[in-house]
Amino acid sequence: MKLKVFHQLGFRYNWNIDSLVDDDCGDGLIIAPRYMPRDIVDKMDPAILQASMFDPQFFLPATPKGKLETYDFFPDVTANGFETVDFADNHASDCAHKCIEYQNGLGLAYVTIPTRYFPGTPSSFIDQQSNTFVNNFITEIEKHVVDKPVLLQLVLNELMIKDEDYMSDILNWVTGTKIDGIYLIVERSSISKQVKDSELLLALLDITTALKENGLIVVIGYLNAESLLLSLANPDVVTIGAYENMRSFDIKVFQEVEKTPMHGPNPRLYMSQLMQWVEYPYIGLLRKLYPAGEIFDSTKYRAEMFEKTFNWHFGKPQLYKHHFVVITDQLKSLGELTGKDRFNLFSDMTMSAIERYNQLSAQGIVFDSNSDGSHLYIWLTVANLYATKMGWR
Amino acid sequence: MPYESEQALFDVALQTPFFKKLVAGENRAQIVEPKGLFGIPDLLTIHAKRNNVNKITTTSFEMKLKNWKRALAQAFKYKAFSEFSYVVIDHHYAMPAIKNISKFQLANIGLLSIDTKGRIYRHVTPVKEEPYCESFRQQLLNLVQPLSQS
Repeated sequence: MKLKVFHQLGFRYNWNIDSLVDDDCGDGLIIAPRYMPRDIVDKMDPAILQASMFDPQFFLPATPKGKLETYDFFPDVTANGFETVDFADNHASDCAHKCIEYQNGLGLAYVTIPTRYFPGTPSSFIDQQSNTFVNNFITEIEKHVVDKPVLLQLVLNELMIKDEDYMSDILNWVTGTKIDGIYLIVERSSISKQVKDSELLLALLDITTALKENGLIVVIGYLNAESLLLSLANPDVVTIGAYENMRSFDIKVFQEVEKTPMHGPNPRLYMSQLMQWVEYPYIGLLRKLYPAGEIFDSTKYRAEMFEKTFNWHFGKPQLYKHHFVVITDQLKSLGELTGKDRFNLFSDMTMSAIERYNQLSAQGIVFDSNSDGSHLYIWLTVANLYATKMGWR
Repeated sequence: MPYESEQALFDVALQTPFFKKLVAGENRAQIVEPKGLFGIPDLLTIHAKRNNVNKITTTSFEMKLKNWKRALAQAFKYKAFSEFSYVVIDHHYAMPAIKNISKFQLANIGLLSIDTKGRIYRHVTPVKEEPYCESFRQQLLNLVQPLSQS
């Protein structure tokens, strides 16, 4: 089965929809009720919905942040104030009924069972997930005529993923549950722009492999460029996103926090030849070194961004629409291959990026740790370790 | 003997003739940790032309006890808006940076080390270069405009 690319929707969800419709970029959407009011979702093109999925985003069930309150099945809305025990006893069934009915009515590609967000490694993780949502959703799914694959959402943090026993319990639980697949979301603790934790990356490849070997569909959400590496484990769907909080899961987005004046990040341009988002002041320098532009990816958005009058700002859609096109092309190239061939292509891409960085270094360019190629050595090492396990090298 | 803190290194550096000369006199100024640019230099010195205060030359400094690699990357960012950019490192820990002097030369980043007695050692002197990012240069000009008019 080919590798699909879904847009992880967020604050500027129209950019993703434009990209899917106008640029034919990606295969579907992960709809985000945190940002999209119900009436907007209800009016979406059925053809798009058929290729997409809906994430109920029950991470913090007592906090109907943003547009979540427009959904009558959001736990805090259903229960008129969420409290764990009261909800499980009196409202969980109603919530599951409405949520499944809603997803079913949209005619989506998958139906999603939501789960809660937990920090740390609570010993009651499985019980709490089962009692609050999962069991009730499965009962409701059995009652409804759900003819689409059912995905169980799993929000896991680094501590959970790196704890072999903890992870083994979770894998035993999900593979013994009546579902067709997993919608995996990973919460990282590092603030680096790219994932540079080899233990985490290798564990994610192993988890994906274990799920696939059990016949489950695997959708991995909130991904940055590490999607290229994770494609080696043959997930069914990987995601692309606009702002950083759609490329790395951040629970703060779902919390009620006091508004403080924020300084937006410097804009960045994704460059496939570097497999990296490069901060824009470096771009001018690179344009001087490569006046023919051969180091940059060619899209209609690049042409707009390279106009003299373009005002570089992180809120400009061109940055992200360019990224969607470029990384989707990379993912599709990988997705056309399987197993060892996919690994070989990934290795070639990574080695070429390292070589590009070496060329730039030889020309006196020094990038900081969020624009440099330090992640590439880690990714290549992880890919090699995984390939050895898989018998590809 | 090494410095106990970056602040101590910074304080001693500013008392040296090298830095005093950069900021003393007419049409010269300094800003400590200017914000809103590409990175935050520990010190930015400004030298305006005597006959045209709008024509300025700026030098940025990144002061570190020992992490020369990080300092070099930060100093390189400052070239986005400055004509000159330097790394200033504790002389006690300067050897790893000196061993990599070619990286500073290639990037045209100055390298100074300073001991606790305030002696400065020049390892790389950069040549003047146009800042590489127009918008950050403009932001710097906006920042220093009140200084040049005072």
